Amino acid sequence: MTLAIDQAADPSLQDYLTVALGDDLFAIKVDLVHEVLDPPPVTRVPNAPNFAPGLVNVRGNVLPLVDLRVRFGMEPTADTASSRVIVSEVTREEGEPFQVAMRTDAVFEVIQVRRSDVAAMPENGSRWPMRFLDGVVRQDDRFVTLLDVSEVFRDA
Amino acid sequence: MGDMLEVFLNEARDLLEQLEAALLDLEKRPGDRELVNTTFRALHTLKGSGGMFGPPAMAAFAHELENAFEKVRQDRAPVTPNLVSLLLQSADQIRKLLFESAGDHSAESARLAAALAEEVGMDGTAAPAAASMVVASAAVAPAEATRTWRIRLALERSALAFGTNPLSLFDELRELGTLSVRADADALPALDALVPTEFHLVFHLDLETAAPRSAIEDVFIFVDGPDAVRIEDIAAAPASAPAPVAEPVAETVAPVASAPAAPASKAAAPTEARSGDVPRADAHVRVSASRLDTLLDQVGELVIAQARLSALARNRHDPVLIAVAEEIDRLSGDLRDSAMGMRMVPIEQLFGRYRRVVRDLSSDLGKEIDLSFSGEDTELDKTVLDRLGDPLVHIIRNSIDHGIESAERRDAAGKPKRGSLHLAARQVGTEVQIEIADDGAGLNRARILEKAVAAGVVADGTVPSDREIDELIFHPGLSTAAAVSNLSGRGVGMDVVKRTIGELHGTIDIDTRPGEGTRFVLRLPLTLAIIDGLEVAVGETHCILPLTSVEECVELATVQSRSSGGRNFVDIRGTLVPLLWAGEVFGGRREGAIVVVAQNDAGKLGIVVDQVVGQHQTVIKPLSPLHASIGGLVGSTILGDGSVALILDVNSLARHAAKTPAAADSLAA
Repeated sequence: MTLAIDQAADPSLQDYLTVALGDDLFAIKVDLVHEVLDPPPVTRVPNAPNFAPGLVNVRGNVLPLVDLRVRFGMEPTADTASSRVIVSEVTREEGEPFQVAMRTDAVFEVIQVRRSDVAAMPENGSRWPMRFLDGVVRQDDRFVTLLDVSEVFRDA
Repeated sequence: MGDMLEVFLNEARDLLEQLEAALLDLEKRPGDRELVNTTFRALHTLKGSGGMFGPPAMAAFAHELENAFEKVRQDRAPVTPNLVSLLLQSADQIRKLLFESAGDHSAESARLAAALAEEVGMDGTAAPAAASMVVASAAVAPAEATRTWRIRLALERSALAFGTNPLSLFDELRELGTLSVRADADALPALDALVPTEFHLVFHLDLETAAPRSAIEDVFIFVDGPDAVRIEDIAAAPASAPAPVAEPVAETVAPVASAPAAPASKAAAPTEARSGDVPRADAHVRVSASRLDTLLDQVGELVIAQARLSALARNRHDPVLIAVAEEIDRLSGDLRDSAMGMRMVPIEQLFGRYRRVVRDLSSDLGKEIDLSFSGEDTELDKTVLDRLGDPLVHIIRNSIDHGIESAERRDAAGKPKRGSLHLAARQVGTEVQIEIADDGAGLNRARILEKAVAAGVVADGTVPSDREIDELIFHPGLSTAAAVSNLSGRGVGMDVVKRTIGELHGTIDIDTRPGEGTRFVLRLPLTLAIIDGLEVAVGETHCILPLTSVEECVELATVQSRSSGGRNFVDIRGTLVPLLWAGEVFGGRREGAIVVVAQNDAGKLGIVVDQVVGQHQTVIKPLSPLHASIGGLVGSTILGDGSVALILDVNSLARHAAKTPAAADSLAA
């Protein structure tokens, strides 16, 4: 409830959930996050794209499991004690919105980001596909890269 | 109110379709009285409910239409092709008035109304004569010799519920002349079996009138039911000699019509008083598709929970529990079939719409085309049907625009002048096949190749096979029409057709013969919801094969396997069945223990798996766009233990394997 009031009071603030991929910190808009789960068992799909290797059962819905590490060009790793899956909604220009389960190395906290604090990504400072990224903010001496979830799945 | 509007718009959509169908039939059989009545009823209902719920402009326009058509109904104007054209355009206009509220349509409405009025010989807008007035004037009209008509009125038992009021029918008849009414109460059940809302009386009416038979028929135009009204001419009576013959029936006058409602006090048991000599009205309930979806989702959840229960019962080895689980299994299976059945619609609904498309196109292009259908009663899931509409229109447009030649060219080629277009549907296993076949010139391969080379799709100098050239028409960015006509250039291309069919897990193939015609074959899954499936294990992955395509399972070790030319076959009772190694398709190795013999559209196919687990009702969960384009898969499902299994489709698996070089040698072409 306080969340709603805060937002109403200051529309320039947005809530983001911070997650880890490898050593880097990323953030996803909280509005898009349905839930955060421990990694469920995965059914591998033959001939599937590398970044979406399988399917998981989330409360009776079958969702594609997306390994964000692979989507960002990192090596896939086995699940660890801190691995979490984020269920998120993806909207695309064409077709119905759908849900995905995104595997991340860890999930931390919800932070508030002021739009005016977001800096553009440095042109050649990024190891990742630029179009997936919404910008970067400083949070307690660390850089947090904001993800554009729809972009991550466009053309996927 | 919003709901009412929704209901009205849905109804109007159906009525417009009915109207178009009736008009197209009427064009072929202009003298068919029943079609004239159907057309009139549709117009009348559109006007009526439009007056209550529709925009005023639409109600007014529908009123004009009804007035104009009233002339036809009274045989005062003939059904001409021009009239049918105008009325079809008017149906489009009503659609615009209803569904495209933006923009000013009044000029077009006025033009159509004027053209119609002229066509039927009415003097412009000066005829707001409603139907009842015309009937009344018919009674006063020329002093012909009066005749006596005997009318037997046997209403449906449910007639009262549908708003038929015999009293008002009698009142209308009285406007025509002298009426005597006798009610035959023989069919009336005993008091304790009487249901007051059901109608059991048969009326014998004698009407002495100078009005023509059609005026009497008009009174009964809204009475439905086979054989509900029988009108006989018993005598050309002189001006005043009614004297109806006495019949052994209780002679009562009109007020008896309310009698069935009176002795209502003890009507408790709604028994079947008479065993169905009155055919029951085929009552329909309009349900929104989203509520059916919800029902089906819930049935799906039930089926999954039931699978868990069965697994549990088996593990407990409790015979009582197993018996209950089996009972629930059977019930949920029945429930599933009923729920699925509600979603199935005959493809006729779709085909019917194309009659209009073909008619308009052939007149625009000056090509005469005979459209024929077969297998219209083939049923298909409504979701699939709805999404097929546009792709099929596009294929039909292409066939007529590019395929079928002009009459002169056909004549020169020694073909009948009239082109023919045939739409066929049939069910093959779990697929529905739809064919669109024309007898035109066939695809112009030379031109397609030329275009493809010019567009850089095909490298200059390469010689693709005929089949590859045919497939090029599905390539985005290739249009073979030399000039973009308003027909072929309506936005969607054949690439969109192919994509839409693909999204429905279907395929599209072309079979074209130069000079003889082109045939498009669409293969679509019967449903997108629940199937009976055979659960098999391939490595660690559990998969479901649709049971309808599975014939038998045999152990690989017990059958002779041979290879010929690098291909693998097994000999099953003398038939050589090509093998498809599921493990290999899944990117693993060529191994397995059981051959599942399946029937696909090219014949038999042996799918080698590691293990057969059992038989399940399977709720098909569609794959997300991330996985939807993977060949061989039609969906996923959740097993009793909560894990996810993949649903394989035999046809697309075979096609997929044929395209994959790694697996191609294990599959007969």
